Amino acid sequence: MATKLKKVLIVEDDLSQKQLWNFVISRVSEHAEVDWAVSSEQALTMIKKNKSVGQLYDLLIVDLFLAGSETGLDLLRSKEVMSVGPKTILVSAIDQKNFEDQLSQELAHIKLIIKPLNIIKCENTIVELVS
Amino acid sequence: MKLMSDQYTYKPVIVITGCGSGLGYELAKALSNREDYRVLITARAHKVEKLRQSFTENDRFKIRELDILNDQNIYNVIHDICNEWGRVDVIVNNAAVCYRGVIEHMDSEAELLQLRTNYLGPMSLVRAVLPIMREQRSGQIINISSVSGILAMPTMGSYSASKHALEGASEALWYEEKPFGIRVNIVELGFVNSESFHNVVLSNKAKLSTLLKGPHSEYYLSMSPFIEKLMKLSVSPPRKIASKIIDVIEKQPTTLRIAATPDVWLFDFIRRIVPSKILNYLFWFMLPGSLSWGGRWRKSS
Repeated sequence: MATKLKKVLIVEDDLSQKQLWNFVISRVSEHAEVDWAVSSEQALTMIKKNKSVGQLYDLLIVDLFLAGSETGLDLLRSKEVMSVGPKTILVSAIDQKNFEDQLSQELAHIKLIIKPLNIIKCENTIVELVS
Repeated sequence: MKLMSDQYTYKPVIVITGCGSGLGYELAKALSNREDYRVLITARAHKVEKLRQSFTENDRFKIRELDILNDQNIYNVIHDICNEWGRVDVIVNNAAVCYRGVIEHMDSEAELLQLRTNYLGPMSLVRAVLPIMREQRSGQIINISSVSGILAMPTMGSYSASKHALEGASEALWYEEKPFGIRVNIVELGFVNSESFHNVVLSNKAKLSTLLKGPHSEYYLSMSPFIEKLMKLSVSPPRKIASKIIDVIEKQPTTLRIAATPDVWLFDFIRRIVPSKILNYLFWFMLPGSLSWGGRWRKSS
């Protein structure tokens, strides 16, 4: 299932998920570089820093509820993310129906993964999005 | 500075914070016609204009901008009023902010703003007036607290922590300032029949959780209407509480804690008679919808 994924940013404050995501990304793309942020604010800093040296993330994996005052939704609505429009997966424990009712129009281009996570679900969603 | 000057006919000087709305505004209204006091009402910049339109300043009633988060501003206001009126007899620490959010939905920035507004700011004002009151050998510090200062309820953890801090410091202050003739009172408010419910600030995450019915949303969806309903049923409008505070200023009670609404008395009574190992379970079962809190994320028992 190799893909051309080179650079991934995972924005998640639950650090117990780190091992799972690293494993999933390594299965999808062996040499992909994975950065990790726990808040929207930290993610924005990393996106700007990378952009300044001409590097863009191929994939953003963003949890809805993060550390700090901003949410994953604030990050996705930020001009830094909107202007680049990277492929994005939103991860959350919310009900899919509520997400679809409230945000599906605005976030039509985004894939949603409902927690609890499992390796197959995460891997399939990434492959579907980036292949 | 005309500190301790006797060139005026003695009229106690009262300084009140957070007069832009709610209780502070009612207190300002009730004191605006009292010829026997000199009153300084204060509010943040964006509320001061409203106060100037509502009240007429004169030689015994003044309006000033005061940001309780700004120590320099506090000292400047107190310095100015001492220059003008020569003393400070009573301060009413009323300015406050109330965030509603479960602990997981709060963040350091919101927590700090709440703590600075409800505790650190009031303490700065206390420190600014204590040397003046000590020199006068008299004074009264009235800190407006809440039933949340004696009990904590879900979605009110951060607010409750700030009011517990205020209560703890006020209790210590009661002992520290007693020898100097300075009275310290905590006026505790419970459910107030007002629109102040709508002034509650929801954190970003609390708003999003409510919108998407995420984890903890059941707390907001059950607690918010419950509190709103209790506030509407309350027999204590802000006008009545303002009158109670004026009573506290006039009678200068030596008691530290004063319940301003009947429910404060009731909650305090329950807290005292029910053993602590039972108390939390009792409230848990009394709170609306508590048996379904947690939703699909709830741990099955």
